[in-house]
Amino acid sequence: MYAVAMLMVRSDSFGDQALIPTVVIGPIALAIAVISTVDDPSDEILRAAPFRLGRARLGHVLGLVVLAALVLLPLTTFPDMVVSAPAGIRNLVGYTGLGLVASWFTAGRWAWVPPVVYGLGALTVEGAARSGHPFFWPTRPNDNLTAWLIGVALFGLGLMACAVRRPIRFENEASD
Amino acid sequence: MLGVLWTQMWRSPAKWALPFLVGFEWWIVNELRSPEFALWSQIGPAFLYSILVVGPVAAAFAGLRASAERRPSLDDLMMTTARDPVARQWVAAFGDVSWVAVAYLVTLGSVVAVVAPRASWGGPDLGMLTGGFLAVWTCGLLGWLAGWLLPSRITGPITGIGLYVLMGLALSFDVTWRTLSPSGPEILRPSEQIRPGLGWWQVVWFTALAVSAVSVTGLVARSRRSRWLLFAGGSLAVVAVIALAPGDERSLIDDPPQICDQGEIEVCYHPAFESGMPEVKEAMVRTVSPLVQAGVLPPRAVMQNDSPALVEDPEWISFSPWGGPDQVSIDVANWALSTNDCLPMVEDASVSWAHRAITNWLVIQAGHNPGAAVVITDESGTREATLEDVLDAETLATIERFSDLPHEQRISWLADNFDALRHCEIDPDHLP
Repeated sequence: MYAVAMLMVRSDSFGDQALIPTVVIGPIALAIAVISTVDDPSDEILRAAPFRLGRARLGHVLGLVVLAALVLLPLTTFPDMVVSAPAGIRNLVGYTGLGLVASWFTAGRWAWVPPVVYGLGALTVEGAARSGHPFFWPTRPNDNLTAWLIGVALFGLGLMACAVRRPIRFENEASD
Repeated sequence: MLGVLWTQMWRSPAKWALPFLVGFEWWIVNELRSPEFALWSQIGPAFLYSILVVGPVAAAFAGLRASAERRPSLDDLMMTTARDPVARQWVAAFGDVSWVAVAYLVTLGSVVAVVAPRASWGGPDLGMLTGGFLAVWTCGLLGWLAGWLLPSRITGPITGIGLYVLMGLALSFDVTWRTLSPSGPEILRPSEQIRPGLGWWQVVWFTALAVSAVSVTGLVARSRRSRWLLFAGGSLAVVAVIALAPGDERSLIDDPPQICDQGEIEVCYHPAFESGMPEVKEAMVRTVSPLVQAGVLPPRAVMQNDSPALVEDPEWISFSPWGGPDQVSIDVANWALSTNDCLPMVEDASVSWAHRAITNWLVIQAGHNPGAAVVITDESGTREATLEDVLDAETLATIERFSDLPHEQRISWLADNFDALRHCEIDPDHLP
């Protein structure tokens, strides 16, 4: 991620927007790494646990998100960028929330689909259209309040989903 | 075998993504082409560009399927079957990727259904469209290969993101070998052609990659035929790289005879633009009509492929059809009142506000918005600029005063001051 960021910044063709691709796409990979660990392997463990696993899942997700955010910190070494590490962290929590909410409906195995399709789509579409629409919040600058509100709201919803119930599991879905 | 493929397709969760993929494909293709015209030259590159997103999604689905197919328990089970186990696993991957391919075909069919009845010249670039279809399979099978070699639930999505980054970098840096990426070729105009045969070389390249990806998995699974497949795929890939490496340089083709519509002003244009020309023609004619009535511009307009060149003594009115009626009106007004030493459209310091007022008046009297070319971004989002955004109070007052003059007096003033306007020699004292 840092190598791609360096390549874009050094090319001098993209000015203060050189980090947009890194900041929109990099956090998707980090969010996938977080989301893919939330799935519980069996009902038996859930039922036999001496406490509700929702709390454990919550702590697990928060811990991993903090670790993932650390990966984005080297982006602060590029000065004068309108989109950099703060927007990366905003996108990370937003994508993670989106995936956690999706895991209620799609099962943990497929929860990566919404963040991947949405993130890649947002960058591709906004790259072509340059609409500035809030729907493409991951591409917005570090200090864009609306984008932060959307990202944090998605994360909040995701954490709630994660705390209340584990991701659904389809009948014929085998575990790895 | 078809029955097995159908079963795998039906089992695949990728089927739920079909409406979203079709919706996205439709959106991006229509965003990239100019919907006001039905131009075949834009369709092939637009579909290739859409692979930037649908390709990684295909890779992610197939990669995840490959990881699932390599579970230890399944490996043991497959060893006991009569057929080559890897062949069955390929069919499973095809089941996932085919939904993305179906989304591509459904969108292609819909776009062709919209464009074909209105298109008046040329035809679709079958090489590019076939290349796009094969690129979906290639991305999917590369994802499959990654998931098969490194089985994990995150391999598929991460491979998809990796493919997106690779294709995006090739696009962003405008490198010569960008044609190796499906999204490489740029949108073409009807008078342009990409290097002949490039689309078909892309077809060879994507086929070679797909065959190689499939054969590597077969090789690891010790399938004998895979060696030959890998050799064939590798050889094809080398040939395709040599053919594609020179890039996607574009060249102009000989234009067909222009169509000329008679009227107050005779308007001539490329036959490919016939579908959207009535709106463009109306905007252009209404904008320059006062100048034609004043006898300072000839009553003949000729469409140009690029921005019209500025000339001292024009033999005809030059106009560009791109950007919709507002943009056409702005462009032709700027062209009419500009020379190489007086450029109002680039905010030449020598251009007075009086000059700008007349240029903008031409656009306003034609019923268009001079701010249409300006995009304002503020806290409430992005919007088209209004008159007040682009013109100061003094200029607006001048436009209003000029509009209030009797028609004959305006035409007479334009006739007397046209040369002064075009050479930036007009000042507020000249205004009526």
